[in-house]
Amino acid sequence: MNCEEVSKHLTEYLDNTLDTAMTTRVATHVISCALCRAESNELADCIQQVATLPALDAPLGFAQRIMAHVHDMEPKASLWRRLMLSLTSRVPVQATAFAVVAVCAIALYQNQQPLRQNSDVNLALRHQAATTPLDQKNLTPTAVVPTTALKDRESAAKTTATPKVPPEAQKKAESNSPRSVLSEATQSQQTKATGTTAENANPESPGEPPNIAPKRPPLRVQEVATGRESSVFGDPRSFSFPFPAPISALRSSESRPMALALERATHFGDRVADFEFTVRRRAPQRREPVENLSSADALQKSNETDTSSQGASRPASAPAAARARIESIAEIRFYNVAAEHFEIFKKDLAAEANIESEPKNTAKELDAAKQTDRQLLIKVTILPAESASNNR
Amino acid sequence: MSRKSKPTEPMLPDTISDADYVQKLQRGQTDAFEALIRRHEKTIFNLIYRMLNDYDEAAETSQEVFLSAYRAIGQFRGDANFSTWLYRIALNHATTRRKSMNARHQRNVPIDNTEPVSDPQPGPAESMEKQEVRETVQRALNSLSDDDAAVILLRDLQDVPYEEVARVLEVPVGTVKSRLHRARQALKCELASYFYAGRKAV
Repeated sequence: MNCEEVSKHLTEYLDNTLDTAMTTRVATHVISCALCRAESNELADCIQQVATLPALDAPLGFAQRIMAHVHDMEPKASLWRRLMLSLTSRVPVQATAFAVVAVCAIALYQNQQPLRQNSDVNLALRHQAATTPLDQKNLTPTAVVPTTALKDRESAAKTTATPKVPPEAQKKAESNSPRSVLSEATQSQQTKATGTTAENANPESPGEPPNIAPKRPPLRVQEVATGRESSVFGDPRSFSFPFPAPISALRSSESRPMALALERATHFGDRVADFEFTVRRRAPQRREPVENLSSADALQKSNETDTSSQGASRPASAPAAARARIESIAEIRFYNVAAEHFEIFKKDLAAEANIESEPKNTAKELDAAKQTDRQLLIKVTILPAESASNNR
Repeated sequence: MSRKSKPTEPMLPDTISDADYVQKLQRGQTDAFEALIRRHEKTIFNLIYRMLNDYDEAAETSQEVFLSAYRAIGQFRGDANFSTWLYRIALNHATTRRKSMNARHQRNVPIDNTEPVSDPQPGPAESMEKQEVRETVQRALNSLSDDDAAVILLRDLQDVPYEEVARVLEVPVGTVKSRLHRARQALKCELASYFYAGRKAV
């Protein structure tokens, strides 16, 4: 082996990575050759100098500082990972989907409930509007009359002009569906126009069915808020947004949600009404004849009766018990009433419940409201019936 | 020839491999990265310090190396050792920093004003001689090219095998041997004046 070959293998020789045979050959030459020995020694010394450089420790808290930076970068990644973990975790996707659907269904059902309760009331309003003539004096129909009622009148007028169907036959046909608003409206208009036997059967009030009272255009009364308080603890039930309701609904046993306690917690409790009424519900035995006065209530009542009779599993005493329970509840309602309709509102209120206290000196306020054409906010505090409160 | 034991060998006696820690980290267990830092911080810091010869710059660059590794851990497929991958990142960062430091040094320092490298504190004669040798070696390393310095530090300082050096530098093993030979010759030339002047007898 010559010096050139040794120089080629010197690096590996110094690193001890040559095989034994080659190491022996290189070592033999290095020992015998002074030049190669010097070269080998100098290189070995260089390697040794580098290898013996002292190893420094990393700065204090090096790892902690880096981990602090890592934790700063972490949230985005961990959120994604958490999401991925939740998808692949023990809870199956089907169960999660079922739970979501169930929650949505319950939420939808609860939202539908007040609307369903209100549908009867709306039906009654529409019926009342349909059965009320337009030509009632000193009550201009400023309220929006439901379009169905107008259509009913038009159809009634057409029927009167061209009475192709005999009145008796039509009456028979209509009697098959007594709760149909359309047919009842047609019937009431028809009986007035043609002067049938139904009209003659009641000589005391000619031209007017006995069970329809009072006769005027529908009063636009909007109940803007309702509060209800249990006689014991306030019994918070649920919350519903305000919706239009007739005054006759004061006597209705339909559940009106939104607890008074809840109302106090909201801004509704702080509203300042223009006028305040305090009324007391009438006892059931005294209220029964009053119910007959309103066709709307009659319709409601018949609905209730039908429902209870159809549902065989439902005991007949259940509505009565529910009504007694609800009548023991104090309620606060707010109504928006046009200034010119205030007197009518008051009359209606008196017809539906016993007024215990009413606002005085209303004339000035009314005049101001009429001039500015603004609606009055009327607060009605409905106290439970006396008999119910006595029972407690 | 006897070589000293690897100075920056992991001191932790734990039996969990780097690959296990990397897998944990890739699954989202951030604490596994702290274990990897503690295992490799000294190695990486010393490699970078010897490349830059500046403690603060080395500390900052080492931190950048680990943060880069953390950000890119998702791309680490486990084909090579974690240490090989980390060495590559460290050398990339160190080379970049070295260039910027050289540029800064040339702009700010007059050519005739050489940086004092000797320890001003007096001490025992032997200790002073060792200190002087170290500073000379360090200065010689700084004068090498990036490639030569890298290959010498990996092989002679860190005692990394040829094969791994080849993977770090992404060159064949034969290239590593020839590059190492060339780098050692260059280092010997840098140190020649010192050896000929004071240590000719050696």
